[in-house]
Amino acid sequence: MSIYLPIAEISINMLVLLGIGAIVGFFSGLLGVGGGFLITPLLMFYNIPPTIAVGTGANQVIASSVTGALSHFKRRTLDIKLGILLVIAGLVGSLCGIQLFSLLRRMGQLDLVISLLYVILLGAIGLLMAIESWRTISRTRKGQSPIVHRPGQHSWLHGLPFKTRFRASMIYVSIIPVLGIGFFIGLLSSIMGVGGGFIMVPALIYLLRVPTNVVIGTSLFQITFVSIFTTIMQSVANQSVDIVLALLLMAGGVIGAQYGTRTGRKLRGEQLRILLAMLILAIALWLAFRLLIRPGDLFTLIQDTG
Amino acid sequence: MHAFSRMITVLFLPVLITTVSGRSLYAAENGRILPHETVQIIVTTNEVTIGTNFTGIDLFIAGVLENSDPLVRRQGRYDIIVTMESPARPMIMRKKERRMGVWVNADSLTFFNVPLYYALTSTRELRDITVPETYNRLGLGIKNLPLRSASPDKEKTAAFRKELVRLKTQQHLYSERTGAIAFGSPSLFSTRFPLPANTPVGNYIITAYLFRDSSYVDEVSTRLEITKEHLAYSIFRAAHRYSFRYGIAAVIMAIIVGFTGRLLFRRD
Repeated sequence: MSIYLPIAEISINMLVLLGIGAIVGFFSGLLGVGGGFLITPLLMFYNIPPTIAVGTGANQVIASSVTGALSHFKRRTLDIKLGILLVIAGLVGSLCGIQLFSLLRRMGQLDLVISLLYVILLGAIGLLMAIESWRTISRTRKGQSPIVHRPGQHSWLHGLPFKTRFRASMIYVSIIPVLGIGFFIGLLSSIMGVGGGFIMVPALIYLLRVPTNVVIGTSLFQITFVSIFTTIMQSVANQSVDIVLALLLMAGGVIGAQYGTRTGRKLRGEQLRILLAMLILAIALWLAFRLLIRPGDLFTLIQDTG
Repeated sequence: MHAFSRMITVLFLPVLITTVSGRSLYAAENGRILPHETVQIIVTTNEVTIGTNFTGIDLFIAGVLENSDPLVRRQGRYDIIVTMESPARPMIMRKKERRMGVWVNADSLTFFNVPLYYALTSTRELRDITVPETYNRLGLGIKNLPLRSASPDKEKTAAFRKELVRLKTQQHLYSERTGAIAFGSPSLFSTRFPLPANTPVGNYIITAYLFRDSSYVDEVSTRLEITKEHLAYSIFRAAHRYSFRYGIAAVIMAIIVGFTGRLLFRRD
């Protein structure tokens, strides 16, 4: 069941790719995360060039966020004004990211930077998740209620200028952190091929104090538009989107997500959350290990496209 | 530039599509004008199409030795070398080194004109056919490919060049098979070039060189187009030629898959 990926230019087992899509889809359905941060390293695990893994990751994110964004839009459970500002900053961030991506590729340091960023990102997410799940589990065992994150009263963010009112979110904040968050997510989208929801959701909640009922919708709204833009830019600037690969991942993801949601209804996520944390940490360690061992061939030959 | 100048030479030859007649050289010998030996080659096809199930083929090439001296022939003093070369492209060689414990691309060198494919076959070991100077002058053999590097550093260029040839050989894209030309009759010879699955597309030049008593006598070239015809290659081509539309298509596909998934498994 081997299939030739036209852009990655390698043959790979189709079931493996559907499987990767399904695993990631399962966790995204279960925990409500986009899963882009799992796709790219798992593809690198199967020797798909990081460049292609990242470009294709952005494409895959569209499929997993577009329907959610639309249903939140219909139900008006999003802050349009905040969303649009985040999108604009996101597009600028994505554009800068693409330039950086091309530059690093020309310098021959792209694979290294992607690997390092993933080691840092996955290491941090994995640790945080593991610690938090462990705390929740041990608290539940002791009969205490899980910790409720209580936003603090005031932060330095409220001292910034250019304040504006976001009616749907009922907040009055400076647009500087809004644009900053949007820009950063755009950068992540183009350099790492992720949607960035796992960073944007906590940032909106804890930094901007956006109420939880509009957070997911606003985040999906931004992710959809930014990932659409990133996919097109990656295609144009780096030819790094493999649609055959993307199609298989998305097909697997759609199926996996269904089982994830069903499983999520039946049982509490904490144990599975720890499992995912372990998986993430394992991937991070493997990526770090790969940078440290001596490669089989010190030389590589590539066509000069620049 | 080397391949390019060779292409020009071919263009000015009286070329038929599948056969190219050799240049007739004349030289004074014993006061008379005698026709020199010439070589001709025939490739049975002028286009090779690589399909989905292409796992590599052998390309057969036949050739004729004309006006040859029977005595010289019988003594085996004629030698033939046939090369097949793809268009050249700029390529970058990168070398990894350990920096702060991590293996990173630390050094690189660009070669401006690397043939993506180069194969050579000959009647005998190259050192038995003629002297290195001749090979050098003709740019014949992997060792004499006129690769221009971006660095004035001779030592580095030589080291990187060696690694480039090693990698290309590993990918079955560079090969030298000495003794792989067989004479079917006194003046008819044939040889084959292995085209691996990863053979690059493009306009190839096949050149036959004739040597007599270790001196160069004649050469003749013919062309061969290698194309790929399958869905995967069409996708690759679209991604590179129409990258904007390709990106739009990727986006539309993702949106369709997203909504199909929603229709198939309604969550609410």
